[in-house]
Amino acid sequence: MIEIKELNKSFDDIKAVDNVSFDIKEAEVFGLIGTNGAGKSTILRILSGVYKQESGIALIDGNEIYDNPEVKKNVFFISDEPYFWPNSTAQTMGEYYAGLYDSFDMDAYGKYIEAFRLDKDRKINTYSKGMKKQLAMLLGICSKTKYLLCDETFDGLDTVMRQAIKSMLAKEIEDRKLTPVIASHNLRELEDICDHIGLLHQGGILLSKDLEDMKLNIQKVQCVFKDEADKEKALNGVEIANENKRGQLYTFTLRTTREEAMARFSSVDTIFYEVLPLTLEEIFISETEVAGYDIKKILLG
Amino acid sequence: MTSKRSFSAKNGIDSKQKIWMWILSILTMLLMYPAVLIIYLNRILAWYPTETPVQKRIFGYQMKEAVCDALGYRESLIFCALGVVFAIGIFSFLNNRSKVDLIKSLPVKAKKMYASEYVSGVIICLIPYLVCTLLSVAISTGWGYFTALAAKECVITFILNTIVFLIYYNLTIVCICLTGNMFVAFGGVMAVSFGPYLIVSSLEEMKYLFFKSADAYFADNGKLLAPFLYTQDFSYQIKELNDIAKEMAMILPSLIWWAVAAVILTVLSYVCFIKRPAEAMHKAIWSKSIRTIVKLILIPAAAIVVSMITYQTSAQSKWIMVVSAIITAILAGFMIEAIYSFDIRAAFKSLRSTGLGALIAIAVLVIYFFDLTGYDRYVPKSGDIESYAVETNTNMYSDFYEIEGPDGEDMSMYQGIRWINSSSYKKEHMFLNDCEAISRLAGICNEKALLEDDTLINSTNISVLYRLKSGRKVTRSIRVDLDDAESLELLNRIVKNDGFLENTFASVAQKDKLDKINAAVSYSNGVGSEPVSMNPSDIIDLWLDDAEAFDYSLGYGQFPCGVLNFTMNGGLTYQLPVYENFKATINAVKKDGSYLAAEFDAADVDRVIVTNYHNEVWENGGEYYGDPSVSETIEDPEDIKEILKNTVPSNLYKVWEGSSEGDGYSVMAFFNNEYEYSRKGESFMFRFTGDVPEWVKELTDL
Repeated sequence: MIEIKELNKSFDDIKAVDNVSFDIKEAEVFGLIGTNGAGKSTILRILSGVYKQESGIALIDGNEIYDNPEVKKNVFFISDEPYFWPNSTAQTMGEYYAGLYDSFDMDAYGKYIEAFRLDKDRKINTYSKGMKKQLAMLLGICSKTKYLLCDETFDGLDTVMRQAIKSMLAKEIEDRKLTPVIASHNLRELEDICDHIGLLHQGGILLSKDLEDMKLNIQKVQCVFKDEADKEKALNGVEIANENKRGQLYTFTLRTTREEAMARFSSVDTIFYEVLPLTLEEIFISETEVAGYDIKKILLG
Repeated sequence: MTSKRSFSAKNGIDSKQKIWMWILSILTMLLMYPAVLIIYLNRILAWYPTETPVQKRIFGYQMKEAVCDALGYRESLIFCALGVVFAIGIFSFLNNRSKVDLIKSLPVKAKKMYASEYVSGVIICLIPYLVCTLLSVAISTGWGYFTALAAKECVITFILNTIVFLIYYNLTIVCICLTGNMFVAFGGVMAVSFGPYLIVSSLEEMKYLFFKSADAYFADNGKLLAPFLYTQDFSYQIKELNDIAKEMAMILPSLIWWAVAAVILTVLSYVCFIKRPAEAMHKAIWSKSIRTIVKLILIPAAAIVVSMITYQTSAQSKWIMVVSAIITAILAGFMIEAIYSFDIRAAFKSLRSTGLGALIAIAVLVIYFFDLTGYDRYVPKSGDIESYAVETNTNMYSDFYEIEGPDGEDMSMYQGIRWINSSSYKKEHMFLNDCEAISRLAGICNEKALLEDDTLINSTNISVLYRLKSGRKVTRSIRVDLDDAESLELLNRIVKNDGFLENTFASVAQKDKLDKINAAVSYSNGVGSEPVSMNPSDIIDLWLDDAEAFDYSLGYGQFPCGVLNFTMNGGLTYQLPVYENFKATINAVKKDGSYLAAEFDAADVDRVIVTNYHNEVWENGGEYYGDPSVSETIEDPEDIKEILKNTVPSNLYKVWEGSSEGDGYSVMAFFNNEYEYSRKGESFMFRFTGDVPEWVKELTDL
């Protein structure tokens, strides 16, 4: 388990991480979302032992991380610009990490390299940006560490590769309870993979919630009422996060469960109604609006 | 377990990244040692024939010398450069964010990471060095010329070069770890290498400019602060000596100091590496407190160095000095802040520390201007002085040699002789203990403010090194009024002392050794020279009797009438001045039939060329384009006679005398074949002993 409490880190006069607290449970995919400069990479670097926090607590399995090899052998950090030794190949990098991480699975690494069609003897400096990211991910997964910290790792990967890597992560989570922490500035990238989301803004954390919890308690309903009075009846006593009307068609974002929403709308006379799944983006819009932030400005520019 | 595996795994891939360093190191060491040895030996093989036994002996000696020279090749600048280059090559990754992300996230302790990186640099330098040295030893042994002397040279050289390498390797690591930019780190290495020396030199220079009693003769310069500039000193000090105890006594203090510096820097480099945060990269200096300290050192240093230059180039104006110090301090402060932020707009940040730096610079200048430390008023009490050394401008030649090593015929060429300047010799050997005399002389000088008295005519300055009982060493200049009976009596007490004479004239201290090596004795009047058949020690004893009865007031203003030469193997010569009233010496030389009169007959001289250098055009900052010297040839016997009457051979000139009008002139006398000690047409330089005849001045006027 990763515990972060009142974590602070500044670079000269710039507060990169401002009193951040959250926990990351084992075997869950934690998405760290935020704009550029929100503090995502700084937190990952603190968790991987690259940076030392100024104050606060950052613990992995109850232990301090900085300059602690016993903890760091359970953590693999994939930087946003992964470094490979000059003139190294996929094979030599694999051997290098195998020497550093006791748990490194060279057989699995070889199979993945083949599956991803990466030439193991080709010099990495001739790889494309996407290929380097794939390789870094494979090295991280094959190190078989308990925690995998990925900084903008999906950025630059095509859809097919992204899906392939997501499948790999899912398998690792299932097989050995891997805990990936994925930082990204793009909500859409994390939508179908994360279990828990932490939203960072200007060094502070805006919210940290389970995706399922968020999805359970917020519903999008599209509906055409026969009579405006039915609208009052259906929505009486429920919190409306958002409301839109185009012609006769209403779209509501309601803070309630799917069952309750369906019960409310089936109990009134409607021409049409439908409870729709919300995208992560829509959930965030409503959640952060509650907190007084305009998420569109924060995440979507 | 992990760390062990990771350590070797990391080293495996690392060594592939460092191939260029291996190549550089191997090539450098091959060129410095085996290649140089082969070149040296080939030169001897090509130049020296081996047909006769004598030729073979000379050939063997030259080969041994060449081996010693090659194995003792100490080019410290190369090891400095290797230290800097290897440290940059290995530790520059600290300024690469991606690489730091990788390295610092690995499950390896920082101290293991440091050890692995640090040791790799040392190994890359020292393994090729050791191998190439052993290769040179094998080549020398193969030729049969590897001697104990060469082994000693080899070992000392290896130790010295290793220390120099370690100092610069560690210094560069420290600078890299304290900074986040390679240019700033390199600037730091340069600043630490030259800065202290520059600052100490400037402060020394200020001392001589503003303190009248400051004296350079016994002063130490900033050697210890800039070691790599001075490793060559060792070469002269220890080469050819066979007394290992004495050599060690000579080099150990410096060697220990440098070794301690290397150890301190190693510890410092480790601490800086461990403490350096990953986010330090791309910053000039990451620690705020170190930034301020560096600024407060650099601003006064820059201000003092620049103000010294402006003072000397501005007709020595104190106002210009102060203004230039303030301007330099402010500009330096702006520049430092701009560098700290890599932004010219940040120049005006931290104005408080800029102002403080300027204030420190001004405070230093004020201390010197007004002698706030009481430097010129210092007079040690006789009870506080353990011993002292003095220089009274009595020695004719400032550099001399100390005979060491084997005696007799084994002493071929310069072997067994140490070159040492008179100042160092006196520091090592002259321990005078008539402390009351020197303390009183200093007291009189201070009471009468003699150093500031421009009206004194008959006076002399003496340099003193006080060794105080507290362990401190203090150097000062004392001015002695030779018309003051008490001062003259005190001065005579000092210069007639055996300890003074022995350590002022090296030949006196080493007369027995001169006997042993059969040094050739001759007497010269500055032009001709005659061999003296006496033993060196016998004639030196007579000379000592004369010198101990000698009155300083007689010597002052008087020129020697001749000089005794003691020539050793290889042509090195000691000299002793002989004055007219050195009766015992002169009578012995006359009895030996070797005496040459000091007066020259005009009939022996064909012509003289008088040159007036017109030094007056340079006085008071005057400017003159071209050479103002005027030379005139004089052939009239009467004129030649008058000139000879007023001059002495320049070989006898540098004596107990201050400057005179004649200093601006030189006289070249061309002898004819009538004079038995010179070939026809041979010329000798003469100097005027005092005032220059008016007609000569008119003749050589501009």
